[in-house]
Amino acid sequence: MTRSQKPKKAKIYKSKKAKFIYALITCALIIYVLLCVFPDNEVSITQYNVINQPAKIQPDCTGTIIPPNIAPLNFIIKQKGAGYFVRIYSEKGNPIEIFSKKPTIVIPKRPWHELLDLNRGQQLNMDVYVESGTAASSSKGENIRWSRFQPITARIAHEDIDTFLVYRKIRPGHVTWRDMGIYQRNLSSFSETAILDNGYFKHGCVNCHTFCGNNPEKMLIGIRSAVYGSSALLVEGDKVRKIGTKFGYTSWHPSGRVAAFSVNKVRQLFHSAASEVRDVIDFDSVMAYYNLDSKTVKTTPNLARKDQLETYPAWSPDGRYLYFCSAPMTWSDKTVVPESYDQIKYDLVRASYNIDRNQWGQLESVLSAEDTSLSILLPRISPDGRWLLFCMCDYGCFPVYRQSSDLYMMDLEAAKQTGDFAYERLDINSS
Amino acid sequence: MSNSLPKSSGRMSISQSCSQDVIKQYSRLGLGRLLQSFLFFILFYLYLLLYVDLRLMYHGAGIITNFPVFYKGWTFFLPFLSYPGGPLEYLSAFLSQFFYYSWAGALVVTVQAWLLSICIDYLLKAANLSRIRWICFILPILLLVLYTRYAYHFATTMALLITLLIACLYIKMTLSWTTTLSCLSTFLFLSLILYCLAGGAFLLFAVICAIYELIFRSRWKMSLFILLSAAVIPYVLGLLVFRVSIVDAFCNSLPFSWKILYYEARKREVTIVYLLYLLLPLTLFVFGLLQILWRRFHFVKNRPKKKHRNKSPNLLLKMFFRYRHSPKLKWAVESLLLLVIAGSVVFFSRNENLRTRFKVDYYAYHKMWPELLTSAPHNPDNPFIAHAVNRALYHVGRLGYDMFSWPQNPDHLFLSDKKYKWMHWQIFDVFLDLGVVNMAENALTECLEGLGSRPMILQRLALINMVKGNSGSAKIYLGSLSKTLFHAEWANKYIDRLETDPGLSTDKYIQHLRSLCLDKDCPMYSLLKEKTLLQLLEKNSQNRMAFEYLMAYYMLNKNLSKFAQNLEHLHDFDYPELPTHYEEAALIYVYQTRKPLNLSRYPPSLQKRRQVEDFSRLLISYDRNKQAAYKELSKKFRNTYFFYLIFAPSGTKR
Repeated sequence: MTRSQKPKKAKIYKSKKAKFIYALITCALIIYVLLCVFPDNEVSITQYNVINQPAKIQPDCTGTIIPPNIAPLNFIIKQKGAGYFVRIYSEKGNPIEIFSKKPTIVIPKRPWHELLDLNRGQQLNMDVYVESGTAASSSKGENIRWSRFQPITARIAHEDIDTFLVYRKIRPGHVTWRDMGIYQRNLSSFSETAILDNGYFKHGCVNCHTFCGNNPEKMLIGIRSAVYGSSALLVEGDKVRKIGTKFGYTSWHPSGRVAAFSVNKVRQLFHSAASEVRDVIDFDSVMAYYNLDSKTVKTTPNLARKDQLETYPAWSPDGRYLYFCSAPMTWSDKTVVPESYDQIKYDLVRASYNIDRNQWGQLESVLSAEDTSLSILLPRISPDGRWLLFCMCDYGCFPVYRQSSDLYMMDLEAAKQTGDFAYERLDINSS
Repeated sequence: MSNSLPKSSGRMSISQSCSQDVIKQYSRLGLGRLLQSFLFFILFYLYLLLYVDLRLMYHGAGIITNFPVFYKGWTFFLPFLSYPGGPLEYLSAFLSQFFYYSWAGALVVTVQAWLLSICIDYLLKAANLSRIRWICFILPILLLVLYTRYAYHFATTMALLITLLIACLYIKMTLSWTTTLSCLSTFLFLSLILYCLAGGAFLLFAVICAIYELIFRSRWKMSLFILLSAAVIPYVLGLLVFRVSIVDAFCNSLPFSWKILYYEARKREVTIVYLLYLLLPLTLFVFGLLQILWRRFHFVKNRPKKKHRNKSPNLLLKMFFRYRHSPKLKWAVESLLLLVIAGSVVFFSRNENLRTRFKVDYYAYHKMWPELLTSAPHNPDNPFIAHAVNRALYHVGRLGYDMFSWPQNPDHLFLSDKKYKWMHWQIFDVFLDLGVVNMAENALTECLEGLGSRPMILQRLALINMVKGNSGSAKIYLGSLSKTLFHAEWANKYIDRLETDPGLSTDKYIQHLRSLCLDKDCPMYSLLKEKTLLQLLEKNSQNRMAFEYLMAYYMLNKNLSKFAQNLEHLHDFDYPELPTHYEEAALIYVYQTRKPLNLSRYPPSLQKRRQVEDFSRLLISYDRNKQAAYKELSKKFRNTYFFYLIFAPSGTKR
């Protein structure tokens, strides 16, 4: 027995040894390949040409206010070069240095958050260096390959931004759709998670979604499905309830007891020669409100005038006023696009409301399209109730598709004092 | 003690017990089978290459709505890891791209079919069912039926393949193991891997293993455990780990997933996929039971009876005996039978009309006009083919001459009937050719939603945005396109061009399209045919396609007064002679209205005048009874506008 087993053992030993050597060689090869693919990024630039303009980057964060908890603002350098070096620094902390062969600059998350957190309220600087393919000669006759652009500066805010942003994600379709959903993005990182994906209900439509005062525990989501029907879903904590009515644009009363919403008869149309193909018109629309306590939907004559279109509700933070947009409905046939579709302009109005008595006051004009010559849409009021932000475009109810759409701001506090609802166009608009 | 013996020792003892002759016979048999498979799959490949032409499936013709897209890079890959069955979908998406080249696609499908047959063969052998090994050819034959009918179920058939491969692995690994624990742990390990890779297709694996353990190994406890784990694993992994819906946890990658059954277009030929999935478990179950029954029966009855039978002088039995004992004859007969069966199944499952539609659509997209006009006569009445034929005729300069040689209908020119409302795929290129870029963009955007971000769609959308000067949007489409396998070069070329020449002033095609584009904007739901064509001509009087389509539109709708009014545009184009159908329509107009028509550059043809008179005379000879005159008129005038005018459907639809 021992005689016959000896050579077998030796063979096993040999094969084990061979396997070990093979494993070693493989590891060495992997390490070598990794070293080749990811070479040491450390680079020191001692000589460079100075270029008296900032580098073109996309997206351009020059002059912006950056929340300290925001995810790294990665960017692409829109300058041609063989190599790129970026140094990000502020008053305190270690600077972040990134070297890249490609113009895409990916900022490491942890150092970025540390740097921003350490320098709240301070200026953030970014030095951009670009390596040219051919060396340029300096005045001293030295060959210099790098160029340094003027620093890009931004300011770090004192306050954090709310961590999550919720949105609907859908392809830029015109009529049909396949995949869509309501998603949330963590603004401190790049992680995205689904709140409601239409894959869960056989590719139905999921649309308007509104939180009650940014509270993630209470929200409304609209769904439309051939299988499960069309309804608004009321989410309260872990409970989801179907409300047997379709909600259009919705706004929660700050108390969370009432939600005002529009009901829109929407029609899409297409332009034969305009830059934007799509356009939207409301053939008809009214406003209504849902009382959560009584689980009833109601409206009032001022919110549902037969000769007017009402849409885009927005409660004032004190809950005393419901702001919304209203336009005269000059056509009787609600099945065809009226000839004057490009003359429809919305006014901004408001109606007072007493929630305890469930009592609505008279309509009040805040800003008239006649005065602005533009259609006033999508009002939003700041949490302190002072500022009213809104859109204005050349006509219609869908500023997203209008190139003329710009953002405007109104000081409601000042208006209270003077009685004049003055507004101004914001500088942040594109030219 | 016996368990610790190395495997090789067992094999040695078997081989030692076999005589040399038996080994030779087996090896000859193996070679014969190999040769048979080789022959079958060579023909399989050639059939796919020469008849089916898988690039037609890649193209999809707007009929295949679930053909996957594939992009290079991690961004595209990573989401596939987030749900069970994702890695397999990724692999299927990658392999499907090879359909772009017919030869490569055919190779991929042939290898897939070959592997499927090997797996079935192995599993049957493992179950001691080698006698019915011919079943391993049924799967490739069913695959052939799928491809003959241009039904795309590649992802589900890949899931089947992976499942069978893992099942083979399970049986191979547990073949020599007798302890239940090792088998259990192997099953669980493979199940976890398979579930992550192929999602719900894991259920098939569990069913195969359960049948195998129950019938062929007589381990009912193991079988029960496997069935239980089939319910538990998708629940735990799918719902709790991957956090997908319960339906997706159990059904993803299976042919009865809602992702297939919810869409009419994807349900095509799904029954064949069900057969593919059911074939093996049913075979194992039925033949396994039969085997058990036969064994029991065998022990009860005496064997000598059978020997007595063999000695029967019956000629048929003699032939059968000879067949059984002559491997060459057996091989030849089996091979022939296999090819005949495969050939018959394929022959009876083919759909020439559908094939023509795929071909015509492919040729239309790639602007292969002569090929299109050669293929179209196989199914000329199909609205989509008729529509493509008109476009091809225009591009070869024959619309005004030959359009009535083909079946015509007023709705086919622009596929304008309500029933074609969702047929965006077939229409966008006509809009683009004409210069109605916004309508083309609209149709393409709908396609993007319905068919996914297919490179063909992205390419057109990039082009349209470049024509419109929306270089930002164009770059987004080009950026996506640059990550595809076969359209990256085109995309990169335009990305570079946009950098150096943002206006694309040197690009002739883009400049040409810009010269055609409408400049007067008006709102519309669908194409306002006549109005738009007139606007196009107003914008660019040299827009020959708009002119020819306008004339075709008037002729098809039998609106000869408008036709005559617009004949003045003829002077804007250098027609060497008056197009035949225009001349016919003009003559009819003159005869009907008794108004002269001035076609100064084109003197009236005596021959045409005689032809119209002959036509009229013949009709009168039948007392203007159209039905009675149909046969004779059809013989002589079928290809003329006169014939269309009398016999075609009314042109009242606008």
